[in-house]
Amino acid sequence: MKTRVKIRVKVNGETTEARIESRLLLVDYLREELGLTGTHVGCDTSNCGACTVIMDGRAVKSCTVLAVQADRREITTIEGLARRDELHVLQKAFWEHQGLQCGFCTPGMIMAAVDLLGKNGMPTDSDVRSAIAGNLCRCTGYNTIVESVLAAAVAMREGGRTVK
Amino acid sequence: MKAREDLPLLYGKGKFLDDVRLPRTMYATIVRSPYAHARVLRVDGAPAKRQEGVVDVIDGRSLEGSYQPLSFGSKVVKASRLRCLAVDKVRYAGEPLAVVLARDKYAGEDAVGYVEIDYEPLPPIVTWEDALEAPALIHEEWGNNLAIDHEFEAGDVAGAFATADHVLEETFKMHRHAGTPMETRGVLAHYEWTSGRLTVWSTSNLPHMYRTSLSETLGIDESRIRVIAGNIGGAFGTKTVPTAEDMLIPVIAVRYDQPIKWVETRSENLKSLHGKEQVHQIRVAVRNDGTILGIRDKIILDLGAYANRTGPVEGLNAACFVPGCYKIQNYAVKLIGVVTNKPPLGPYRGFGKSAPTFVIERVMDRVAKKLGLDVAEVRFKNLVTEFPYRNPAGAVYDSGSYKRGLELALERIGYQDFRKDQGDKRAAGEYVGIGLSCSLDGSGHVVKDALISAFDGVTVRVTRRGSVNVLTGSCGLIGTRHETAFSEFVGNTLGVRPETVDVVEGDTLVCPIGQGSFSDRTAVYTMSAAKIAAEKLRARILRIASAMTEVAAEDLELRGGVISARNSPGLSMKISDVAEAVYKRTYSLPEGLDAGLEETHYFSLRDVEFFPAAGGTGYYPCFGNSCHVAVVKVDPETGKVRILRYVMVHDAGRILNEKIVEGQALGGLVAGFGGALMEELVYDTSGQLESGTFMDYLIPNAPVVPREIEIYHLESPSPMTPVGAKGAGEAGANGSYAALANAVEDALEPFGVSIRDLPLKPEYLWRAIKSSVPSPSKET
Repeated sequence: MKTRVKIRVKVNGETTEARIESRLLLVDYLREELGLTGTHVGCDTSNCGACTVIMDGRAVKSCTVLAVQADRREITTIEGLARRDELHVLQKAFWEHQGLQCGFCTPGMIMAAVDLLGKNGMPTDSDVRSAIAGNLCRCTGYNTIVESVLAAAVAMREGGRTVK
Repeated sequence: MKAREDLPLLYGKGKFLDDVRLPRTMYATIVRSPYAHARVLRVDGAPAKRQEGVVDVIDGRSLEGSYQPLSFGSKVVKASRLRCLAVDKVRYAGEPLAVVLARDKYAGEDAVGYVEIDYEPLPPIVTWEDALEAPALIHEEWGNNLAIDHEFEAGDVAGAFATADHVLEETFKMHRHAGTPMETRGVLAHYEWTSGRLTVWSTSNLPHMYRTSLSETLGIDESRIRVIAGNIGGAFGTKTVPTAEDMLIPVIAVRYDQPIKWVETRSENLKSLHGKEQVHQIRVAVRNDGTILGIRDKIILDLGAYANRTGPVEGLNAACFVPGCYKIQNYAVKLIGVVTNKPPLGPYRGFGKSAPTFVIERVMDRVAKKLGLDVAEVRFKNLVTEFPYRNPAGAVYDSGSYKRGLELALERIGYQDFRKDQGDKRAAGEYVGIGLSCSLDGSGHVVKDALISAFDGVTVRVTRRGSVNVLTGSCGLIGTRHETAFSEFVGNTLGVRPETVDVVEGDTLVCPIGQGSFSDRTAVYTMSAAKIAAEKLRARILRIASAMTEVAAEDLELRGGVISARNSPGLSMKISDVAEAVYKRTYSLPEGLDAGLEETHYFSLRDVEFFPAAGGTGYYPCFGNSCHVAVVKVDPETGKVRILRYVMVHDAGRILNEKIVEGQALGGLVAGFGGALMEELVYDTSGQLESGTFMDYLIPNAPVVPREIEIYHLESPSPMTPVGAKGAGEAGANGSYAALANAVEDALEPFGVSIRDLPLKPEYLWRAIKSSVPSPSKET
């Protein structure tokens, strides 16, 4: 029997506890143990960013974080961003500006943008491109994603809201 | 536009293959050959089977006889069989040899290393030259490494070359690269032995075709097989083929009383289905005024290890589309399809189109250079202007705006001004260039006597309370926004609000038999089926309303779900009233009308003339066109290309939803940018893939893409279908390779660099700049 470790992780505001194999990746903890399948796996080398989540306020690629490293930390996934009937400002902007097609990269893309807008409320076109440089999309050609993030930044400023 | 299929995806509630959970699922991990070419002497799974969490290990030999390998081949392509697992011999590094079934994927991966396999390595055939010259045989029974050896000639080619003022000779190479959708491939199969029913969830965007192939392979009645496609994370051609794994997982699932899931890793994905690799040795007869009199092309297609169902089509298409958008009637082509020890070739966005476009558009620039003419002038001189136009390969261009497209593109980019400034910029050490390409965008591929046929089916059904279900044979949760497109189109055609229309696709149990979503066919076939089904249903609703109101059906109108009469302003009833009458007071229906408020229509294209240049095996009914202009800047110190501006004028026939068309065009363009500038599957001399992860196989990310991309629309409706729409998914990829190659050569003109091979990676351009001596086209 492989060594099991007990972890306690706050995910989308709820405390979760499990005994897991110490080698379990955070993305598999989220997807397999908690059933939060919105976080996706698109590569095995941490290049594509489909698995991006927020850990203690910073975007991380959850395929390159061990679940044990998330012990006693706070994780936000795409499922934790909106309430049922109220989309997050970024989700709304992606919807309005065709920021997605197949939607596979979208959760990671949005979480990377959450990280950006948390640090920089007035990003330029090139700021957005750099911030999502580690998130790959094969459908949209990116420009509508960049427009979506810029529109979300404007909406946030106008609405006097913060990103989280 | 807010596409309604976006909402679940935005909430993280998409249903991609790996998101589907069934109790007691076993995970399959595939053991793959590390050798490109080897005999397999022994496979022993026993040590792996003893590992913790492992349920079983299955090798190819133990599967033999339990399934019928699919056989591919035609009169122009040598048959090869699709085995689930290799037996006796492996033909590329990454070929599946055995499979480990485990309780979870970690245990499966752990156990793979314990499967013992003895190999006897054989000399690898890595390049097309090896395939033709080296003694080693990949399929011994063939006697050589040739899967295709096909020739075609039309017009008076000898005469054209005899009367030409110049004959140019060039060799152009399109490299091997891959579609790499962000979601890799996967299969989840569950066989219920008590009922004999097999359910397969799959990433394939051809669920019906997949079902037929499964039935053939497994010998299970097709009616007992259900294939379900949920959300698909992009496909771009790479998920269209029944591959070894697509067959393997269901074949082993029928042995177990529990579901089996396989999800491809990215490294596996990069070693699975490749695209496009081909060489063109082309000779062109031209007149001094720039008129192209004739072409002789020899295409060498590198098929990889197996000539499976669709790989050869890359070359057969190319053989038809080399003449491009131009009036060239004297044309000879020889197509050689070789097998090599690399993964099989298959479709990738711009399938058999981006490569010939690259070739003919490079030819146009080389001709202009040779004759001292402007590159736009040479194109205007040769463009097709009257439709329908039959090209020498037998393809009929149904409608188009080739000349107008080029004019508009040049105007929008400011071509004349660019040329004026280019000299000054060069003098200042800024190497900018402009490149044009006119792209022919065939949609709706048909293969002779195959499952890829010229039809699609749609059912439109009004529910008891008056809302509408649309079920189609296409497969739309793939980024192409069918839910939005069909609900708008059917809603408007039928006369109900699009919000009341729900669309279901990708489930063989409930949807009409259809083709799936590939080769830009939904706009051609499925939309036509939807139009006719909706019109039939509308007529039926009005007949019933007529019986209910005693107003003649011709005087009734259905709009926004409300039925009104032209001459009786007082009359107003809803579609729900008709539905209620039909489903609740069936006994009061007029003679000849039964209950049920639905119509199914299978739109079937007639007069299909298979193209002789494709050996009579392939056909496209509709041709869109797009004109591309790229402006680039090359840094001669590093060889790095930056795209400064890009204009695409796109004509995809009648536009049903401009936002969807634009999204497809932009996505296709950027795929082409990646293919032209960055992506390359590099093989070493032993047949090992050197760019096998996203660390070294680079696809475009956001900083690579310029904001300055402009897309303009022209509309030349297709006369081939009742809707007139053509596909929009491939145009961007078809034309962008050529436009970028032409722009880069133009930018590097002061260095005399000639672009003959792709991709235009910094390393290659840097070498070309450093070693350049002007090399004009060879004249013979």
